[in-house]
Amino acid sequence: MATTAPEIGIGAASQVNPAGAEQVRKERRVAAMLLLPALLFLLLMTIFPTIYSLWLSLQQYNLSRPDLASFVGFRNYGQLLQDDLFWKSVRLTLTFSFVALALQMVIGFIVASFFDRSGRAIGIWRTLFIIPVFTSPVALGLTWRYMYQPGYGLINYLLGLFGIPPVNWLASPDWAMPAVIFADVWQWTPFVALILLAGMQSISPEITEAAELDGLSRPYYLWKIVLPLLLPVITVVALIRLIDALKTFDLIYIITRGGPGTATYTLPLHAYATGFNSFLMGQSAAISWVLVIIVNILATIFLWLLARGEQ
Amino acid sequence: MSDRARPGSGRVRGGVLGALVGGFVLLWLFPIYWIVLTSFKTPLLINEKTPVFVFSPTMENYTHLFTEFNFARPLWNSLVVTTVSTVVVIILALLAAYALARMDVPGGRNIALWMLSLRFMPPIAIVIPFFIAWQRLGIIDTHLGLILVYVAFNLPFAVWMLRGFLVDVPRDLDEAAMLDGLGHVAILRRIIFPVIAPGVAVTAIFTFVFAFNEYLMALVLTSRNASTAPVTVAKFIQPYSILWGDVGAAATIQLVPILIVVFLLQRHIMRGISLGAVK
Repeated sequence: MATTAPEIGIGAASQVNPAGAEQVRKERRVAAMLLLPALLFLLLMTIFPTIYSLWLSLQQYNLSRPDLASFVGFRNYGQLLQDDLFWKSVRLTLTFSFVALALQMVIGFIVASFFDRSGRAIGIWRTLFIIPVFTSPVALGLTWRYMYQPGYGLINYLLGLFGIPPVNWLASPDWAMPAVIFADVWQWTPFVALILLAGMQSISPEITEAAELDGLSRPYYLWKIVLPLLLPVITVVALIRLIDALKTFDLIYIITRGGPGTATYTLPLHAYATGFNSFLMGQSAAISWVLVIIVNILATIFLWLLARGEQ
Repeated sequence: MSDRARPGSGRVRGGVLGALVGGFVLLWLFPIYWIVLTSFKTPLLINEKTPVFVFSPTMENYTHLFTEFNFARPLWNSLVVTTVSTVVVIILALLAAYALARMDVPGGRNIALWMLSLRFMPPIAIVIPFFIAWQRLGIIDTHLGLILVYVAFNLPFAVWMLRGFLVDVPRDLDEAAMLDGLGHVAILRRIIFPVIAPGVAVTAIFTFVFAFNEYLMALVLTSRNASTAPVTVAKFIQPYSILWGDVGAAATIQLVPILIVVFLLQRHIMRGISLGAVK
């Protein structure tokens, strides 16, 4: 990705004659005019809420009594650090994100390698496979909730065929998180698989032919040749998925509402409930800023890995 | 290109593998098939312990959805908000991406990276400021309020994606046009746009789908008037029961535009999906 930086314009800028300089100035004016609407809009719509949300996190601000709002410094954060539910929420967020990510990457890689191997006939299957990614998480979450129902749900029925006794998935503190992760894996594995597939298909034919001539076995070829070559792509996909998983609200909220009890109460749900059920806007902002910090730390580690891998 | 030799793959095994892959994909899509099937079932069949696959379909869930929940209204809200925000995003993003990809912009690369980094921001962190600000500005629960937020959320991604498509277009094309005396806007409109039209379509689809499916922002920023389809569907979760038939019908209705778009633009979607990560 880093290699696609637009190198253009350097040639134009290095011209020294006055006519050239005039040309460059004019070009920059046009560029500014094209860029400014998007840039100004984004600055307005991101800088303001970011600063306001940081400011809120330093306040005691009850939505039902905004007139009583007062500055409390880092007290909201201090309270969070002493709150068991908050730490549980952090743990649940990381569990959800990393388990889902690992499953999506492994299954996605395997599926992509099968797609890659079976030639042109896969066109239609590849297209169909993308559908979960484009489907509404609310509708999908409810679909899974229907299938997880203890009495008439499809999953217990299928397990019953193998003699496995029914499980009340979403009411069980042990099973609710796996159930939610499973739904997320189902929705997002196709995304991972199709990006990895594109990566596999961009591996130069010479490499694959050489591997063929050497009589490499398929697993050996995938493990020793494909995996190292795809490492940059894998890192980027993992980064995208990890960030999105950490931010996930809709799917979890629809399937479990954070329950049973607080078994799936991840940080986005915690922040939402604190803000819109308890009206504690300052607390809620503080929780979301912890999430922002976690996302940024993990993203930085990933980008650092990516940069190191490229060297 | 994709049917070239792969280590360990013979022709015959390729055919068997193709069938395996097909079976696997159909199995994977089963939940979608299941919810569509549910939408045509009576409540009695929906609560049946043994799954029913063959039955005489009923439309009662659909009529219930549109009479009881007045689903036409949230659907309309969703379409308005989604369409308007997509159009605005594409126009703004196309201009910005053209400048970033093909012109001498000081700090252009940093601007592009900054836009990409906006993706790190969890929506929950900024929805509260919008909620409070939109209340004060009187645009809470309006199309406008939601459109503004969706434009902000999709714009960075759209700029990044379009920039990727634009970098691929050969420079000779616009240099020749410039020698013919065309200005930048004319070049963008008459020379570049036709070439990257598929890229624009894909970007528009991603933007559209994101906005159409978005839940958290719509949940917080709309209530009675502007509530969207996902917000309404989530209300089918009632204290003592969930209206599975209505859920199925609503899910099926929302699926239709997605399916149409995916099939019409399948080749380009694959390219768009791989663009961000593979390049």
